[in-house]
Amino acid sequence: MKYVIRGILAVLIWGHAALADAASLTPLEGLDFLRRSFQGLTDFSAELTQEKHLTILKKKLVMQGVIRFKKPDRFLMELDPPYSSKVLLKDTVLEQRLGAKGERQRIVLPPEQALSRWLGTLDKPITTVPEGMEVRADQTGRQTSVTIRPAKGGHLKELTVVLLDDGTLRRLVLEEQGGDRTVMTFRKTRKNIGLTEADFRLE
Amino acid sequence: MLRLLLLLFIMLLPACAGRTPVPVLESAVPGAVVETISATVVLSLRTAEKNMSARGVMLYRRPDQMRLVLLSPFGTTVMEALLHGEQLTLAYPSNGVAYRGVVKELPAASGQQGFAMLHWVLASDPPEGAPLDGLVERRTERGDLEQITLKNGLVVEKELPGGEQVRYRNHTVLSGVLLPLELQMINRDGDRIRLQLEEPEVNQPIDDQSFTLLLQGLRLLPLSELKAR
Repeated sequence: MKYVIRGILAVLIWGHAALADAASLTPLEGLDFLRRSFQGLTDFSAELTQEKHLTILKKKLVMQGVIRFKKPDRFLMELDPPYSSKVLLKDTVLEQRLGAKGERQRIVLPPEQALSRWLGTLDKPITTVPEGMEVRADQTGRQTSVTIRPAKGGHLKELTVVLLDDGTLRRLVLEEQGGDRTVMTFRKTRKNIGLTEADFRLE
Repeated sequence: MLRLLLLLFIMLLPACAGRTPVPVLESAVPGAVVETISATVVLSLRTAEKNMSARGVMLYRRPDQMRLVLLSPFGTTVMEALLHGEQLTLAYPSNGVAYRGVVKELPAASGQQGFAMLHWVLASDPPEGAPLDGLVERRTERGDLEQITLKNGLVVEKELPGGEQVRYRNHTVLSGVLLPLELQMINRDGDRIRLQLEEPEVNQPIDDQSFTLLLQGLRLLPLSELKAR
């Protein structure tokens, strides 16, 4: 379940960083800039392509879909067939349906894992890079990539975020210790479009 | 002209009627068996306490190797399982822990009892000399007397005296081999497990490395200490 929350946060935090024209940032500047960029956001939607590279599978799994988010605590991800699934998080209530005929499952998260609570931590200024974490940012042409290596010992080896120069999220790459890799590419990102409760349903 | 068309239609009608679709199962090669499977899967589990499902990848190699990787909605690994003979390893990377032991050491309340049935479930070939339809009994490798239901020459259901059941559904033929795309299992506690195969590849070579689970950085505990998640 922690992965679900971390994945949602990764998409949200880095999905809407309005990138300045700085060529390079220090780790602290990079993290704090991402935090500040999220504060001007009320909602967003985007089309998604998720590519999963598994070491045990010769072919990559390619999934298409959409994601939506609305402050303070709504998140939805819907993937199309043949890997159809729908995930809806309403603060502490996670609902999921896998496959066309899949049953709905509902999980109530503990209060400390509530989406609103996690997002609340983003209101606090970042004064230090967390111990053990490595951050680097590179700018190439219109794209800027921020790579974060969490403290050693975790399953996630590296997380890379690629943004266009207008702050639009282009790509999110998750690399695991075992060599498995997930690449999420976003298109048609639309911000602050007035999403309503009707946009966050599992039907 | 209209009469000519009508005549042609009438003449062709019997020909069309005679071309009934050939059942896909008839394209199976007699004697061909599953040696390997590589497939994405949807695994669903329903117990008295919980209802969960996840998408993942499953590899199988005859006679007794199976690897299962379950993924989060964001594609990261939630759980890995490796079954080799009676040896089962379960890894939970996000918790930094793995469990290893023989299958019979699985705690009853771990929610993973389905793995204890897996060898029996994967043995889905019809017994030699079995009728096309009906019930037959056979002794399993573990010595239990299983009851097998056959329909059109396919094993569609098996049951053990202890109450374990497996139903094989949505048979198809791949590389000349008959393969059920959906397995519905019920263990002796009444837990229901459904495994659906998506885009399976059958009898393609799978290297040994794919049946090796890297436990680097994980704390390895006895399987008997596994708790429900």
